[in-house]
Amino acid sequence: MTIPVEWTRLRPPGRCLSDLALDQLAAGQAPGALAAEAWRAHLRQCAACEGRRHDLDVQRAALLARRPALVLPAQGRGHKRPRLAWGLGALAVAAAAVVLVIHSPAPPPPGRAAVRVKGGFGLEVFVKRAAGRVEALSPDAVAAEGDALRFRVSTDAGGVVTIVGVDASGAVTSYDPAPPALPVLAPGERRLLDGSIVLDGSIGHERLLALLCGDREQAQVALFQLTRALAAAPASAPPPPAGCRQAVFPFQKVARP
Amino acid sequence: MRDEWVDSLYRLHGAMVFRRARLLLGSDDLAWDVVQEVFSRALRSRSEFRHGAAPTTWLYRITTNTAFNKLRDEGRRRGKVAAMASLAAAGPPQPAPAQAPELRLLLAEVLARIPAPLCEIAVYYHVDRMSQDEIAAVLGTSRKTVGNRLQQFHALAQGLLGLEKEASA
Repeated sequence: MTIPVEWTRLRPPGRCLSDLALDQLAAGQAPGALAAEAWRAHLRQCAACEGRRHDLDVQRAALLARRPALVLPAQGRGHKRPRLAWGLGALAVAAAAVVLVIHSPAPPPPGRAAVRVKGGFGLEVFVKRAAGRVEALSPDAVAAEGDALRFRVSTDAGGVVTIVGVDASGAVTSYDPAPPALPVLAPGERRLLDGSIVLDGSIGHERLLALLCGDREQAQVALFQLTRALAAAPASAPPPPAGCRQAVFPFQKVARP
Repeated sequence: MRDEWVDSLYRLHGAMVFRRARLLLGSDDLAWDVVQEVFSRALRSRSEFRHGAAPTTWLYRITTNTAFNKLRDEGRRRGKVAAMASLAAAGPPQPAPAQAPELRLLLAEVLARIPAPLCEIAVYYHVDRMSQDEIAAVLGTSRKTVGNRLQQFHALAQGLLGLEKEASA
């Protein structure tokens, strides 16, 4: 093997953001407010970088949901550590997160707010049945494997929305509407989110948790916290992360009729 | 052993460390080894870490060097030819970035021929597409130093490329 020719030349400065910059933004560790604002401005204008940011977010959430425990050395010295199938689970979740977002079913009919929580943040769920009928889904109602769900959120305060699902097996999946960005709602806005998810074959009680946070970085951190809490205790009811509002929508998933 | 500070660091950055290690090594198992080593090292270097660089840049650098050590260890343990054959044959046990096995072979080759500090900068520049300012921030050095080391790397790489061309001619 030879060293590629491009490694022998100084390349011109790239205009796109590096993964380091995207990682720093996600972690809230940009080197200064000016740099962070410049990067955000670039993301708003560059589909390639925004797409990459989205990919990293999906990977991060998927890996976080399945991450194995750290085995730290006693007294900070030599250690034995297990080999765990981090990658397999992570990739499965990543694949699910990507595959779940598909074409949209027909626009849902006007429906009542299925869940509206204190604080003025609401989540409505609409289901397109296998027969093609579209209806509002009530909390604790039944949806079947293969049904398609769409979400409508409403807020009196505005902010960035993200949604997480935890199924009966304890698997946690972050629902990220079609790239490139998490939806940003204005105060008083009520919006049907792009895309839909198709329910898989994991039967039983399932919950959808919607978060409304001040900005994308806060939403990302909140998503980490919520995903981690649910991965550790799938049946738990974690409180909304600091600075965010949360709406919970439970339903029952049954086998395809 | 549990340590809240390291746990918190792991929650926020574990996926980044794993992703980076897998990119360089092309293997989930090896990448997981690196994750364990990186956060164990963070635990041992807690005071240095807390008063030093920002977590993201510190972890980028430690992950890169830990992955390099793995590549070098493999080369020493098995011998260069055997290691290359093994790397080529094994492949990642799970789907990994398409370029990972090839990149891993390339890095093993480059590390065997060019000093590691220059390879580190070259990886940040050519693989991670970082700017020279970003590399300087990760290394805690000046942009001028980064530029000089990149020139050194390129001179060495060009020499190696020339030798390869002559050998194959």
